[in-house]
Formats: sequence, C-alpha cells, structure tokens
Amino acid sequence: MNWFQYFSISVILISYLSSLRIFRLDKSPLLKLFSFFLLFLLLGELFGMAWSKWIWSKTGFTRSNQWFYNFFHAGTYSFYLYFFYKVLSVRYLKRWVQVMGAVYLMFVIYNLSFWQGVYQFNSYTELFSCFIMIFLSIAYYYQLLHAKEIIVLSRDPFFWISTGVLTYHLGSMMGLFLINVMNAISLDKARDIHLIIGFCGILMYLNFTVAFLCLKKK
Amino acid sequence: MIWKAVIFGAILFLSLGCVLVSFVFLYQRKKYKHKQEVKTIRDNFTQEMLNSKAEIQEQTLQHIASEIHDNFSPTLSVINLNLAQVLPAVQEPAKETIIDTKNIVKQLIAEMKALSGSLNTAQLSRIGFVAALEQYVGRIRKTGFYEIQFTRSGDIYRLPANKSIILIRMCQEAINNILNHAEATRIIINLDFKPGLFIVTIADNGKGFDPAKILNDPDKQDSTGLNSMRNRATAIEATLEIISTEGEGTIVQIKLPV
Repeated sequence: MNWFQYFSISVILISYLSSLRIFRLDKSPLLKLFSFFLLFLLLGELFGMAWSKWIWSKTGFTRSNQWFYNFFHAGTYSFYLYFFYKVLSVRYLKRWVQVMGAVYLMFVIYNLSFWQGVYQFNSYTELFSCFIMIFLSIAYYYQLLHAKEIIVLSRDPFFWISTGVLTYHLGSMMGLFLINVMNAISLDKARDIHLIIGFCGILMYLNFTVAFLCLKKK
Repeated sequence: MIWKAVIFGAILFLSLGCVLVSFVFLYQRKKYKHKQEVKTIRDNFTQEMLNSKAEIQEQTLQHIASEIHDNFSPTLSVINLNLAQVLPAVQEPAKETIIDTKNIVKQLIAEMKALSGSLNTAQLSRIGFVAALEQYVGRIRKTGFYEIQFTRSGDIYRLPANKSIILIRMCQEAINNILNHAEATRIIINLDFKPGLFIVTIADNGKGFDPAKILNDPDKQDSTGLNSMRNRATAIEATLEIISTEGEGTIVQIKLPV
C-alpha cells in the first residue's frame, strides 16, 4: 500500500509542478488560484499520510486520519464550488452552484455535528459531493457545447480540469460511499477500495497536469 | 459482494464518463468543421461579390470611356471645325475670341482623350500598370499644383492584367483623395518590385487624418473611398495599409503578392 501512496503523492506533486507554468505564462488568475489549490491538496495528502504514520503518536490522538479528511474534503469541495462558479458563465448554472454551495455547507455541518460525526469518515457527505462535482463537470460541458465561439478542447485547461473532476468522482463514487461498510467487514477489501479510489485520483491529477501543459504561450 | 459492486460501479461509471467526454469531443469537432465550412462559403461569397462589383465598376467605366471617345470627342471636333469655318468671315476683335475658343476646345479634346484613356480598361490592360499610372500622374503633374516624385525599385515585372486594373483604380482613388482632401503640395509615389511581392506606396505632405475615425464613420466612408479601396484590396488579395496622423501627411501602402 505504501508504494501506491507515494506514487499518488508523486502524481499530485507533478501536477502541482506543471501548474507553476501558469505564473510564467501569465494567464487566467483562476488558474493561478488552482495552482495554489494543488499545493493545498499536496500538503493535505502529505499531512493525512504523516498523521497516520507518526504525528498521531506524538499527539496522543486517534491514529485514524478520517477526522482530518472530513475537514480537508469540506475545504476541497468548497474550492471546487467556487472554481466552477467562476468558470460557468451561464446565469442559471451559476445560480445552481450558489444553491448547491449553500446546501452542501449545511449538509457538511449537519453530518459532522449530528449524523456521522467527526471521527467517522463522512461517506454521505462524500456521496453528496460526488453528485455535485459530476453535475458541475457536466454543466461545464453543457456550457462548452452551447458556446457561440469554438473552443479547442485540447487547449482548454478548464475542460481538462472538469474531465479530471468528472473522472475521479464517477470512478470513486461507490467506493467512497461504501468505504465505511467495507472497513467494518474486511480491512483487506477496504484497502482494495482505497486502491480504486487512489487510481481514480491519479487519473484526475493526470488530467490536471494536462490542463496546465496544454496552455499555449501568448 | 460489496467489493465487486464497487469495482463494477467504478468501471461502469468510468466508461460512462469516457462516453460523455468522447461525445463532447466529437460534437465540438463537428461544430468546428461546420463553422469552418460556413466561413469558407461566406469568404467565397464575399470574394465573388467583390469581384462582381469590381467587374461592374470596370464595365461602367468602360462605358463612360466609350461615350467620351465616341460622342464627346467627335462633338468637340465638330465644334472646332465649325469655329474654323466661321473664322475667316469674322472681324477683329471677335476673331481673337474665336481663336482662343478653338484653343480651349483643342485642349478639351486632348483632356477628354486622356480621360477616356485612363478609364478604358482595355487600354490599361494593354499598356500595363506602370505606364497607366505614369500617364495618370503625368496629367496631374501638368496642372503644376503638385510636386510629384515617381520612383521605381527592383526589377520591373508585368502584373496580372485583372489585378493591375483594380490596382490602378486603387492608386487613382488614393491620389484623388490627396487632390480632394489632403491640401498637400508634394506627392511621392514609389513602386517596389520585390520578388513575389509588389508594393505601391503613395505618400503626401498634406493635413493627414485619423483613419480609424474615418473608417468607423459610415457617413465618411464612401466620401473618401477608403471603403472602396479596402474592398478592392480584398478582391485582389492585397493588403492595404493607411498610416496617417493629423497634420503630418498620409502614407498609403498596397502590398500585392504576385
């Protein structure tokens, strides 16, 4: 399992390093922000990994890093919601993002406080987030298909980012939802599900990498 | 069982994602192809329109040239003959007036002939662009109002007949603009025969203007003929550049790939 974790972290690192191109090309400020977001994801994954390896023992807290991922994912999805709010230009889609953002935050707070709690992985929130992300990615495709001007998809970073988001959430949706059940039944099988989720994550970060590499110089 | 469901779900949903992304790609490609086709059709149509317009203009000019040559000039010659006939019978000082009138008519005949020549497409094609422009410039030089510098550089080659007619019209338009609007005293014309590219530069020391202002003002476009020059340039696939600053003269440059 370790090698796969390191491999996943390496892919995020590659994705982040490729995103640094944006500062040299001086393109959209939103993409610059996305580069910082990738750094946030990298640091978050490193912290999550370090916590279950040795930080927990120094704090006397639980070894499980699921409490961290509950908050980390809440931050991640809040950023995605903001990102798509900025990317989408169709007014009613923007309105939908606002509504979904508000519902999502209420859902996160309710789940953390009264439902699955802080120390159990918030699988219901994850499933809800997956639906939102799939909707947002498809909404961006819808916007692309209805755009008056022709956008060359292979050169559109937002297309690649949306594709990455869609890939990850379609592939890992069931795994994220059922991970708690599998943890209770068989830890080995749960690890396999982690592998599937990790594989989808790698696909997503590869798409993010392409998003930054496909940018043309001015 | 759950594990299998997760695997199956992941594969199924990822496949759905692939289908969706492929659909977006294919749809966008189709849209792009369609837009390219529409653009090509529109460009061809515009080109056809410009060519037709240029052809109609040339036919009209040809007709005017024929009218001048076949009707006005003979009529003037008849007037001249009549004046010559009555001249011996006329006493001084009316005789002197008739001689003056005869000279004016002669001058008018010569002017008409030159004008007919400059409008005559067939003649322009025959003598070629350089000679036609020289003739046109010669007529303006004769007025004595302008100091004209006419230069050529590079090895002279003959321009395609259909393009040279439109090119001479563009030059005439540019020079007419100088005569009518520029308040210039000096005109510089340079023909640069580069291999594969012919460049005509017409510059003046007049009052200049703001080309963007004129081109964006629908009332002034037709009056200065800039729009017509632009259309003609498009018709022969040439590029037209107008550099002008108020108070600092104007440079018109036409680049024609040959």
